[in-house]
Amino acid sequence: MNGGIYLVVDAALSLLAAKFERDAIIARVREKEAAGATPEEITADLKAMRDEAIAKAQDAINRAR
Amino acid sequence: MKKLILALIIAALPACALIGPVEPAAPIGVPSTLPEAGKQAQNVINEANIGLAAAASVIAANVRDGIYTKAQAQSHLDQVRDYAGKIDRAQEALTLGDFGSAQSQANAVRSLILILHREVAAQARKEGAQ
Repeated sequence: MNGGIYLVVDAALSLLAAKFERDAIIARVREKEAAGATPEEITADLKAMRDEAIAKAQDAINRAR
Repeated sequence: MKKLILALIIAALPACALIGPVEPAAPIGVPSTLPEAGKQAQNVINEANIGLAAAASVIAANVRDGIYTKAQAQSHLDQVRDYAGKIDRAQEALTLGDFGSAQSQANAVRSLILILHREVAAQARKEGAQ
């Protein structure tokens, strides 16, 4: 029974984590917009953030046992 | 303990709804000089990049926490990379002024990213069961 509850919690937390990550990225971008970044700079930043997140994930995978 | 877990699940439900159609309050990084089709395409491309960055971060966290095996995490990350490549091609089409193609490519990938987010969560759920 407890296992069932925990597996649902793992899935729910994954979805929550994705939402928090997304909100954090949007907040960073909004700050840059407010600081005067152009739309082209924002677009380039988002691609850079994406590629950085992929690189970090690959690093985490490589370190995992 | 059960109350805490139930509270977490209840707290997660609105988040599930929010993760579905990923649209921020206002477009992000969309030049006002673009025609409407170009604006829509750029908005979807930028949203897709946000979604992919979020998915990659969750994959990293799940493999660090031992929720995913290395192979599962790599499989999900390979999907993220594949979609990132598709989004880059949509951006190239937009830059070349092919707004219709850029929009259709970006929309197709956005749908795939939504599926990926659900798969990432479903995998966590499956692993929790084992």
